[in-house]
Amino acid sequence: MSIVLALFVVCIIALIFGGILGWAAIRYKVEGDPLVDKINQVLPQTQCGQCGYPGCKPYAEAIANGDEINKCPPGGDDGVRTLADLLGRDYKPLDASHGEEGPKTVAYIREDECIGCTKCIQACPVDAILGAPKLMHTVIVDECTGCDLCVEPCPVDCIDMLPLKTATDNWVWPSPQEIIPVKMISD
Amino acid sequence: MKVLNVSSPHLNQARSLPMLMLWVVIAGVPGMLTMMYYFGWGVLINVIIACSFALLTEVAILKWRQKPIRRIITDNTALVTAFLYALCLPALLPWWATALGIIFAIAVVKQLYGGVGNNIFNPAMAGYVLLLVSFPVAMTTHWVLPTGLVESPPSFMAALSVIFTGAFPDGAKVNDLVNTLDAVTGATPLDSVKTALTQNFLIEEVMEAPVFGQHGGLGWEWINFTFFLGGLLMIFLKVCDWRIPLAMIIALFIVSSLFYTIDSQNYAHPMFNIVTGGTMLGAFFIATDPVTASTTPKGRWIYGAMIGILIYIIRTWSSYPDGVAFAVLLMNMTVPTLDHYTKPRTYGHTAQGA
Amino acid sequence: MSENQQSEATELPQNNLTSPPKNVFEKKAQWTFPGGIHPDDKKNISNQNAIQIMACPETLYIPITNYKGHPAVTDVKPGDLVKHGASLVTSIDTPSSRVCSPVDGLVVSIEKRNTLHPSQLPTPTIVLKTDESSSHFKKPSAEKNLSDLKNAEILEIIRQAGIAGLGGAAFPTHAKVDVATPIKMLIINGIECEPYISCDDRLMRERADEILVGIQIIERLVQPERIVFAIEDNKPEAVKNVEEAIIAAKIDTVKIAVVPTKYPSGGEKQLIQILTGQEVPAQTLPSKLGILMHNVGTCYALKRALLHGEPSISRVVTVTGEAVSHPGNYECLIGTPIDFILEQAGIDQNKLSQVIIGGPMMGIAIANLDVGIDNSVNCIIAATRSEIFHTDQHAPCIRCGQCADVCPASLLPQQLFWYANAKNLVKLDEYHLDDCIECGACAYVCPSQIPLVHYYRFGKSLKQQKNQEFEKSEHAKQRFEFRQERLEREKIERAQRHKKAAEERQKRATTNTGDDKKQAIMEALARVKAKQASSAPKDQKTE
Repeated sequence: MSIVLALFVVCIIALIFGGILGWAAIRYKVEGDPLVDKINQVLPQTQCGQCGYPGCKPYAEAIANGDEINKCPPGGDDGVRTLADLLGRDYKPLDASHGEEGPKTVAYIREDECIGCTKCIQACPVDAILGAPKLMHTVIVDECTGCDLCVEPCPVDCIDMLPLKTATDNWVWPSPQEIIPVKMISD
Repeated sequence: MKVLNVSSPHLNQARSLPMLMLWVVIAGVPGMLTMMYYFGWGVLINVIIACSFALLTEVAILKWRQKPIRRIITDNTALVTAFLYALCLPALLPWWATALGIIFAIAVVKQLYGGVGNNIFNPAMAGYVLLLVSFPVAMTTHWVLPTGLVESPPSFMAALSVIFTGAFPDGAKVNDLVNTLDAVTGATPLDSVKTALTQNFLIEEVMEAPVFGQHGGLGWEWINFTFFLGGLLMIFLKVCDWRIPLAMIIALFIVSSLFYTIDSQNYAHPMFNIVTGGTMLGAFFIATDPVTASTTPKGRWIYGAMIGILIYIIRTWSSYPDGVAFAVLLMNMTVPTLDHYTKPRTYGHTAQGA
Repeated sequence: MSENQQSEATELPQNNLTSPPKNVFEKKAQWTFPGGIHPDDKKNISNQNAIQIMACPETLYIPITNYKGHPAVTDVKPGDLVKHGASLVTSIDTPSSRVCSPVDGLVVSIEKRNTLHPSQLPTPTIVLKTDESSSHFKKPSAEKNLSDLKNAEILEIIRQAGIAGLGGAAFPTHAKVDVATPIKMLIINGIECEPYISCDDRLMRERADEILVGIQIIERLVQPERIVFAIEDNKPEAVKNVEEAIIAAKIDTVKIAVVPTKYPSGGEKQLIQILTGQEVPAQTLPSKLGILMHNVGTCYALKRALLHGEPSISRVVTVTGEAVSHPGNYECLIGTPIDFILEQAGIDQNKLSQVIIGGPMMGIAIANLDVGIDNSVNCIIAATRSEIFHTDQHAPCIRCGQCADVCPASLLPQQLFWYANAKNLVKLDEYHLDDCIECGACAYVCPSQIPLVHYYRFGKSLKQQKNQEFEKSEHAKQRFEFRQERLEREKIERAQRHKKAAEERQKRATTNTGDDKKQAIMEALARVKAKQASSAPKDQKTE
């Protein structure tokens, strides 16, 4: 008899909690997939495809589905760490097969060599190259993400990736340990 | 012209860290001298042993960690740790016990956590607690009886002999002399109170024992008073924070007054708590260790007050006679949490931090 | 500014009063700010003598940047002859700012030269050769009457004259006095709390009457309910002279508040707290509280510009430090090279260890002295080795909390240091790094001698960089998505066109017979021919 009572009580409890869970699932339903958006926020949006996906969003979706987090060289080591934090996964060093972390660059077209083939314009993922067929092209520096994708298609090799210039408005104070020969005594 | 330092400010008028540490020692010297008056040369010998082993340990570990030895040794922090640690020990403690505690304090509690500025626990108190839990009898009942109870404390040679060989020059062992008529060591006043209360004596009766003075333990009143003066000097020179000792003493006073008012037969007088044991040394020299104390103004009030309350709890209801070390170490653990919840309100922000 | 106010404010208020005001002092300040320090002020090195006029150098250097250090545009080109007061540099940011030519002269070149920016990055700079025949500090022309000018016209004159806040931030003044909210309190900042600096002190001692005229101009523009002239109590002569000038000018709206000496009471937020007990809410401007603050030097410059038509081409600079033999205050043209100024003040190169631009608490040290001053330079310190503090290495932080005790913003500098060192931007935000005013009080009292402010600047610029990167990546994301959308749309449109064409073909095929087909072939051939004949570019589609 007591077993029946126990079963009965457990069933009632199960029903109650099941009800609460069911209600919560409807009440607090999450629209869309915020995880993908969060991952996408961390990715640098260069749309360079070095990860093997056609852009940052697809890679974000892939990560959400379990792909490795260390395939993004433009995001760099910091990016991998942020992703590891966000997803609660282990940090891994950048996968060298997808490229290495380098200084930030912008594309520069040597304009007298440009033949106006529009191939780079088609390759640019963020429409940062201006130009028309048989007319000289130029890069809108402020829009360029430094993704490298325009370099390959250029038939006359007139596109250089130049390091982003440091000016007074994007200059960063050097770390105090760098300019004063400070060595922290304790570490 | 070479630019030395681009960023401002280009002035600094603080007392440097080594000077700050030196001032802690200087402020503690009167207290040490008073202890020497009551307990003899053993106090000084302890300090010397502790300081030597502290420096040796620090050098060894720094060498191992490949750190600039000379610069770190000269910041005097190891010296302060050893000095304060030694002042907590019984005067005739065997040298190897003193060494063991300070090696543990410097090597494990300070350096393994990353050296000065990074340790979580107060090294001096951790070293002391290690000895206290390992050798409880030697640490609590083998205190040299203060001058006044005995004619004079052990001579320099006698102290040296006991500390290094465990026996007086005439061959008498310390342990044999406990509880005899010509005993030189005995329990501390706090321990006596605790023992007596468990034997159902009343406080009044306990206080009539010769080990007690006017307010607290014989001699301990003056030791606490001189540490108090040293503490005032440090506060005046801004060497230590003023909130922590104030909060701690007030809290200890309030709690002990409360219980004394409720039941004056079983709980000691508030003044007894203030002037006995390590109260003043703890309040001004131990609890104010900046590295392990709370760092926010409000946090320091809470930190100090909680130490005061914990001291009373441990003294009254635990099996240990004094509670300063445990109280400080317990509160050390709460510091990150305290700091997190006691952030001051920044200019232009609301109390909620928005 | 409403029309009503504009029509009312046609006369300067000074004419309303006939008898001298009875009491020109505010009640003693009741409030203070937390923390603060009392460094040795060393003002007597430079405040003994009257303001002297600095000679005009052969060449002036005027960097093409604006007050924020952002790039600006220049209005001249090499080879141009410019007139005194002509516009040289105009900022493209809002609010706009401008630099006027201090002299008649020749633009020799525009080249990349060192600047006063802490990065010491070369910046495009106008090199201006002065015309020796023209006199540079012109005698004040007859005072103009402002009463017939409208407020908008006055604002335009201020803008044209390139006047900027002379307290150090160099924010364009025309934007600051053109307020949208009603102003309850106008504060004139004559605090000058940093050690060494005495240019405002000398200005108040010698030209208090002119400063007052400047104040009345601002008063007319913003219509404040009250005006407080704040001076620190270590400048009794300045207080006396301002008091006398107020009585002489018979002004009853301006009250002097003598503030106890404490660094940094001259900080805008701190002075507001001292005078009103209120705090400016984080991330807002004092105008939110109905308060406006101007530096005494700015008031003086306003008077010069509006009454004498003299644009902002010079400022009083304190030249001080133990390495100069004639320390004092000098009225220098904007663009005068620092080495020239130091030479004139009698620099002893053997004693010189470091040159600091600004005060010792907030100024920056510079290595290259062939840089022209701008209107934010209030002080040049030629310091000997013993005069300034420097250490190669700092001890670890022991969390003593002395920094927190002196912080005027009630921050926890020891925690900020920790997180800046770890580059933990989230925690830096949580501990309100943005509210740090970089006054340096924390580093001044630090027993471990940690260059704390440097850590905060490092942390702040990291944060700024992160924000810039985030904005850029957001922008790139939008552009990428937009492009994807466009490609998609074009694909669909193309598909639809194909479909339509196919349908058309089918329709024709079903309704008509061979004739049509023949005709279609003919048409196609004709098209090909026409195409071959024309030399116009082919298909322009870029896909």
